[in-house]
Amino acid sequence: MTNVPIIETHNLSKTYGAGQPPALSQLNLTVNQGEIFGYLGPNGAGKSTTIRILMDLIRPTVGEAKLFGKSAQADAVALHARIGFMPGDMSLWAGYTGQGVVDYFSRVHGGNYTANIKKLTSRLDLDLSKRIREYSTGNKRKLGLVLALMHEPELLILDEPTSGLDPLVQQTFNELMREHRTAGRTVFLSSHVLSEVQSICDRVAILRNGELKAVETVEKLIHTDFRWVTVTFDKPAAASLVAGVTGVSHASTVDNSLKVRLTGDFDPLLRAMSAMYITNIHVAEPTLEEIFLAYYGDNGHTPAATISQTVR
Amino acid sequence: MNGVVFGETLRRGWRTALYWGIGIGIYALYVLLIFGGDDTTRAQMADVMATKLPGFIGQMFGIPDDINFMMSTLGFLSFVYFTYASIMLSIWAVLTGLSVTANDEESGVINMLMALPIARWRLVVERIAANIVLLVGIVTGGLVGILIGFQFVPSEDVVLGSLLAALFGLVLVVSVVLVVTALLAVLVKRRSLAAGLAGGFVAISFLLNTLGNAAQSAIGDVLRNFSVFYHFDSADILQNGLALGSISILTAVVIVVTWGAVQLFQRRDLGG
Repeated sequence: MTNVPIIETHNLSKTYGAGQPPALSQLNLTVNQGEIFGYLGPNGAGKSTTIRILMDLIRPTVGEAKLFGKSAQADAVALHARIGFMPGDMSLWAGYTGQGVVDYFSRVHGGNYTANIKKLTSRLDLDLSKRIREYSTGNKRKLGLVLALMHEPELLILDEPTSGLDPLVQQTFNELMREHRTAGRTVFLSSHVLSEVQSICDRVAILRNGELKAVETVEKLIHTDFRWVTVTFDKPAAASLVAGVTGVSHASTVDNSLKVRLTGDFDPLLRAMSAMYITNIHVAEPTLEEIFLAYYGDNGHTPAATISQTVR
Repeated sequence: MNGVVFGETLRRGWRTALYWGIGIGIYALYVLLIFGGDDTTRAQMADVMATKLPGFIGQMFGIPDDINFMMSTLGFLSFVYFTYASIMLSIWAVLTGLSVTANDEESGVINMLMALPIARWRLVVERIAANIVLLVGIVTGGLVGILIGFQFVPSEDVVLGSLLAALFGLVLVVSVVLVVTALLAVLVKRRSLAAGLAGGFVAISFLLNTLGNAAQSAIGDVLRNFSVFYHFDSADILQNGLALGSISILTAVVIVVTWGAVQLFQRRDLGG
């Protein structure tokens, strides 16, 4: 990863109609060359709106977006030659074959990508001879990936790319994204499936109600938040043992074990348990799903249950 | 790349255009064989028009005052073929005008298409241009039908140049419907609404011309100027050649409306 900005947004805002709440509000974001950047948020958070502005499919109400230092709007045609894009809704002409679409898009890009297309279809196990109307949702997503990757673009912008892909294909997708990064290229992908982001992204942004909540490296995000601490004693212990202890919450007991959510230092927790005989301590990093919920949980606008349903 | 959308539109549309061309050609042949070739039928029709049909009804439907001209091959072609071919092809133009942007926008394909290195104006202009080329193909199908029909009916009064001029006028008037539909589709986005509005445009335009013709009043004459069909007087073209004024107006409308569609499409958000 370098510090060369590939995507930059400055106070990017979008409102779809008078009196409507903004779909995107004052977004300031930078994505650097050679990184896989995850753009997270529940449905309706503004992810697709951001992507559609970056692709010049819609225009911002306020602010600007730049790709490779150029205006996403004024220089759209030249920029699109350097970008591979897959929208959230993979719609194509139903009467075309996969090959027909690939050929058309190749002609628009002005190149012959036969070898690359063959390689991609082989890895993704995609039959291009079928008509689009015969493709399953998963196969349409695969075709979308082929179309996005075939011309080896410098930047990939993918909206919910793994939605509808089976686990094996998802693994291939992850490999393709890593290879893309290894080649010094950049990936910007949105998702509400956090597990895919956790495994391939260098940094993630969390978006909610059109507002950017956080941008962090995946590693830092996991380490800077809370941990789950499970303490095992030689005899049963009550959750009341740690009641009121600084940084401790969500205490629960199972047999001889006490599980708590700990934010901050260990010392207050250890002191509170000093009267007990401790046989084991297990510390687990929170998953991104849990971090995600921690960002949103207390707000009340998006109930935790709603988000957890979208998490695979 | 330049011309790719144009080429793809031709590739995608040629089969449909071929069917339309065959249909229009068969219609032209049918008109000439069934009506033009049968003296008794023609005589009966002339009698009905001259004596039984109220004058204003005849004028409404473009039946010329000169029944003798009407009963000539040229007059027959003008009234029976060109008048109704322009209406039939207007249906094609509405359906095709929707394919310029509306079909892809409603289905979501526009998201894939406009993420390619294609300028928005190029998509609109190349698709309209390709569809006009397809229209020329369809109209050529009609010409083939007419030329075959001439083998069976008297055609001494027909000058090929005038016939080609009338076909050129037909292409222009249908092109106006095509670009107006494209503009409406860009304006309202929704396919069904655009189709309804474009259909309304054709119907009102036709009525303005026919009612204006029947009214025989100053207001009627003024209103007829706003009808695209008024500017395509096939009887006049077949007898006297192209009227520069009408051709200029129709050409200007095609260019200005296309420009308007491009401007609107350039400026607005795409998709739903």
